[in-house]
Amino acid sequence: MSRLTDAGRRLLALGPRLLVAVAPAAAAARKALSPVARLVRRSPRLVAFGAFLFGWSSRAGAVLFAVAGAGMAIRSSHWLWLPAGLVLHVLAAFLATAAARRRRGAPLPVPERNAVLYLALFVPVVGPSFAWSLPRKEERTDVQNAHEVMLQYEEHVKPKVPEYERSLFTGDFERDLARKLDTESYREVLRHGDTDQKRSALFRLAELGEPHHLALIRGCLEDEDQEVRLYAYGELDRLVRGYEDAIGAARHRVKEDENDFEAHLALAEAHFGLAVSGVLDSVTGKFHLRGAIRSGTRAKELSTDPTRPALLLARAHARLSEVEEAGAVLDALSEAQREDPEVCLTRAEVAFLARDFHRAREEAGRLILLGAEMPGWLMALCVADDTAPPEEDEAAPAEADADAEGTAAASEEEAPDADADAAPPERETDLSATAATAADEPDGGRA
Amino acid sequence: MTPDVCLLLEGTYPFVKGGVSSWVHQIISQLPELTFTILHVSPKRGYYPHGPLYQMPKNVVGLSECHLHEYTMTENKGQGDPREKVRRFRALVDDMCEGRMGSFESFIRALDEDGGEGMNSWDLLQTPESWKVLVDTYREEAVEESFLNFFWTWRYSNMPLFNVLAAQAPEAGLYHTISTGYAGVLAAACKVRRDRPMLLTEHGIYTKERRIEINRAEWIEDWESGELTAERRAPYFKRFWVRQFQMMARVCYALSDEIFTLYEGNREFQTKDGADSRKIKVVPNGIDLRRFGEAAAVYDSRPENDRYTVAFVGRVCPIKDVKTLIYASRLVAEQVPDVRVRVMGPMDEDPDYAEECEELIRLLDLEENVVLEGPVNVLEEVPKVDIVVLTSISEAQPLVILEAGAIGLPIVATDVGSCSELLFGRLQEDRLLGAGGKITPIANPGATAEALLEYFHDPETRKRHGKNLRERVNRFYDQQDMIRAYRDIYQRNLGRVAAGRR
Repeated sequence: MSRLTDAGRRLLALGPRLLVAVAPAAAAARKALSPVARLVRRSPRLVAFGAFLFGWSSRAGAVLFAVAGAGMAIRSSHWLWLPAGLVLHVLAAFLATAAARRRRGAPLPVPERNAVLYLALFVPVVGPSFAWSLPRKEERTDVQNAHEVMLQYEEHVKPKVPEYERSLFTGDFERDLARKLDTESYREVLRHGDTDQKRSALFRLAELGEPHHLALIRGCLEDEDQEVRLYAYGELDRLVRGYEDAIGAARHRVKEDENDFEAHLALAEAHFGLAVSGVLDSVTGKFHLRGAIRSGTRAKELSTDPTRPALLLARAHARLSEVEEAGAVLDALSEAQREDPEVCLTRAEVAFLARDFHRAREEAGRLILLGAEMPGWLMALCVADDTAPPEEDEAAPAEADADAEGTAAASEEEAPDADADAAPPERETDLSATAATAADEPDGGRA
Repeated sequence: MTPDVCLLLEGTYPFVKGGVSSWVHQIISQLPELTFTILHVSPKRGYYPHGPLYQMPKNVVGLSECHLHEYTMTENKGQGDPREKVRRFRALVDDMCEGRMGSFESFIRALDEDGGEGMNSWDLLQTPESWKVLVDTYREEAVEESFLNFFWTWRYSNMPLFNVLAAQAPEAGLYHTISTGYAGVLAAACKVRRDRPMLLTEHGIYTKERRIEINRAEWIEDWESGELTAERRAPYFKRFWVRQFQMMARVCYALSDEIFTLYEGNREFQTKDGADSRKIKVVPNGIDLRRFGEAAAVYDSRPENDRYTVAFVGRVCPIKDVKTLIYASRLVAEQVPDVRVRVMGPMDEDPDYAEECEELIRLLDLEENVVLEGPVNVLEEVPKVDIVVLTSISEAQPLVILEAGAIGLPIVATDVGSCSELLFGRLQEDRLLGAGGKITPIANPGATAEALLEYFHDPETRKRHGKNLRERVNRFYDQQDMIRAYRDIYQRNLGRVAAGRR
């Protein structure tokens, strides 16, 4: 402190008082300039042009123009604006000086007058044009956001399909359509391809892994080519092993603690998952549904909140065509639990599998009121035409009953009609249509 | 003394038990007038630590091994252009892939030259020239693939092939290989070196089995996943391996003097893989009818079972698909609650699978119905059952069908291998005997259960089918016929050798 001069000490003492004094003025200036700042932000080019015109005849304009240039540089954060602003400031200053000299009353010498004239003609054009031509950061950002621009364009030009407006539905229609197309192509390969093509198709279908894809693989278990049969078996076996490992792990947990609710539920879910995966034929799937019911019942006994096991039990019973049992499980839930979207969806599923479409639609309505997402199969049911000719409904059970297994031939032949009409799966004592029409079944959409 | 027959075997007798091993043992035992030496192709030394599992007959005068993955890296002091040697080997492989055999003979002879153009594994793996050829090949064929994968694939495909080509086999009157593959190429090399006849007998089709294994293998990297297309071509490395085995099969087929197989269905596969159909003859398996005739008498004279009894005879392993049988048993038990299913066969091949089967039995509440008994004396136990069932996903000519058929039992079998031929007949007169059982699709417990229930509800048909099958086995699958056929084959070819010497 002793090294400071007297002036320094006085300045230091004045510092806080200066700040206090300047702060309101700075705030006022900022407030006064904020419309200008907004104008500069919105249309910096217009401001530059106007300022330049003004600067042509006024010294104040030169200052304004320099401010605008600086403002634009700061706004766009592009370094080119600063020298641009500087150049235009210099030009504006030159013109202001020239104008000032004229006002003094002394006529300008001819060369100087000509220079002012030329500048007066070109600078208002050159300056703003130069400023205009400099790239703006916003333009570069627009190019990078081309994808967003494309989406906006798409939204603008593509026609809206009222039944599938996004406000109500989640757009599974496109997915269903793509699924039908890709399944059809694989079906053709499996019908007419050579061994290598079939092998490749089986591999791809296993990768896709939807139940209706796996139904096509099951169909190849009876291919005339032994090699193809082995490939089909291999793909299915690989998928089954994954589920069996999960079942094994769950059983191990149950063995460790018989009273572990989560372990029993996990075992029930593993059995159920395998049953509805489409990997198994209808016969063996039934056994795993029974396993799911056994474990799910035990889980329900052990749990304090039986909702999860109840839903699984209802779905398992429904798939075994045990509609009353499924209904009883759901009815046992409390009123509050029944308002759960998952419970509504399960009710819809049980009704759907029992061919009670009216009830299923009621549950769909409830789901909409709850603001919950609806799977594709339920959406398709909601928009399906109820006035389908009666012979279609009468023929469908007969077709399904004709082949109790229904995995090989029926899965190939029935699936197109089932998919095309979004018709519900047949209610059967076995699960012959389950794998084939899983695209339209609750689990096909639920995943 | 030079043995009469050198049997070239790969992964089978005398180190592995199974159908092929049993067949080889039968052949050797039933031809005591001939001497045999065995050359076994093993992966590496000590791969079978337990040693031979069969009491080899006295007419086996030698047992040696060729190890695929043992390389002696001794620098080759011989002359000759190292790069040219490697190129010649690659050209040989390419020729064999295309079915051209011209360079095979000259290559084998070149291998045996001392000094000069002789070639060893050092030339193939350790020289700058071999590296250059490897890189050139990579650039020509597989530049889009991982070089690291290509390097190891190159090494592990060419070295075993080179080892069998360079192996010195014992001298013998003729060379008889029981598969294509490495043993088949070794047999072909022996034929060229020793100028002796070469015979091939195929049970399963080696190339087809390898192709299926390779196409299903997950350890061979597949970069094409994610593309939703049905390609005709498998990924590069899978194609590479399949081509390798196809090449070995072509060599074996081309150089075999005679080719034999167990059933007609195999003939088509062999022809597709390049065999000359004029060389192929069907010599089916056979069983000792005398021994099984005694068992048949026991079966005929025993009283009806109080419980409907079904038997499965075979190893408890995935290829036998015992789980399908267990699911089928559950379905049968719903209509026939006291049905008994006896699973007779060793369970030590795949203990995890056996455990899964046990779990499945518990899951399906079949503890009172299905029992995994382990190995049994087939002659004693099989006559006690009503039906034999087979749910395998792959077979050649299952001996269990012949054995059960000889006793007089009908069979429910999956449509694999020669099962259909065995149950319904091969030749015209064979087919006239009528059905000996029922055929079901693979992995279809419903169909298997349906067939078992049909036999339960219709004992007359069951007995009739059993009789038909017994008649068929007695007429066409007598072990003596098979032995007689091979005696003739060996003597014919050995006679040619003797005549050639004179």
